[in-house]
Amino acid sequence: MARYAIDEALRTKVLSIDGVSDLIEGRLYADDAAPQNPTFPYGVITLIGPADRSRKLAGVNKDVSARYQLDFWGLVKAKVREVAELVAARSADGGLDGLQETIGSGATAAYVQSCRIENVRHGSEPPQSAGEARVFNAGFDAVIVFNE
Amino acid sequence: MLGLSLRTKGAPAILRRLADIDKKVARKALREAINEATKPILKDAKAGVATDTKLLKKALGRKTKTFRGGLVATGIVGVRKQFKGKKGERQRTDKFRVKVGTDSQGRAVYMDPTNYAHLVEFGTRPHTIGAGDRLRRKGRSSKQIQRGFRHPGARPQPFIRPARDKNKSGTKAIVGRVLGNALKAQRAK
Repeated sequence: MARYAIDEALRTKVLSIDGVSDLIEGRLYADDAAPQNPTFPYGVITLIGPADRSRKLAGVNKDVSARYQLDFWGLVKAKVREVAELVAARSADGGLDGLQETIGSGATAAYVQSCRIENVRHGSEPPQSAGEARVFNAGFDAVIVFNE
Repeated sequence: MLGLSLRTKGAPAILRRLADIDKKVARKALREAINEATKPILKDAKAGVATDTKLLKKALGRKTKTFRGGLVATGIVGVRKQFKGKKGERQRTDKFRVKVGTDSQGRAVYMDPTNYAHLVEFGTRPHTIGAGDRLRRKGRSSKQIQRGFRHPGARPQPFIRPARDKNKSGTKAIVGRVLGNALKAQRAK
């Protein structure tokens, strides 16, 4: 069966990284909008850009390349940066960069051939009303090649 | 400014040969190469950008920068601003922005792609909008709290990143070809 996204498997993998669950407590929303009044900190995984199969002269391969955008939001700058750094770390250190393994389980499992971290960014948004506080953001793109 | 920078990675052999010829000629060739390389990226960015008012699409542009110190050229693809007037008196024109009204103090309010291009590219989180949506700043009452609707947030609609990805290998080829032609022309002189 053709598959162009591994949102759920990626979510499971990110939550299994040491220290991530302690910081965001499972509040990682994969390809759906964050709730209207979210509890901070939280993360969002979004598939962006076209997920493309690789091609050869002989035909289409079973490798799909997809770009995921991972964003983490929180009220404490240090915590937001910490969770982003844990997830964007090298695979040897438990992170996603350079990952090459099967992620997820059961029907959602997928073999990741390569994972590259790009466009690391961080910033903050001012409070939008007197009842709110400044919200900090850290995020990056993960370019993942997986077997469909 | 949301943009994309390109450097002449991947053409080191040609760059070394370029360094042997006159610096001014080499810089000109490099500038031309980067100028050519940004053309397909801008074309793909314009093709992929989400269009509501088409203002963002219209504002997308490119420019090339070279520096006197060494053989470095940078191509930038992103949102443009246009200024007019003498140095020190330059004023922004309305070519790439649209006046949508005035604020309480009579100052013009613009729909300006430089202010929202990054929000289209990277998306937004759920946030407040509507009546009472005021920032807590000096001089404003702390009792002003948001009473209006909340925006559910916007999905990322990237246009720069896919354009860059699509042209990654093509860019190197264009830079190599243009620099190669420049070297040939220089040798022929």
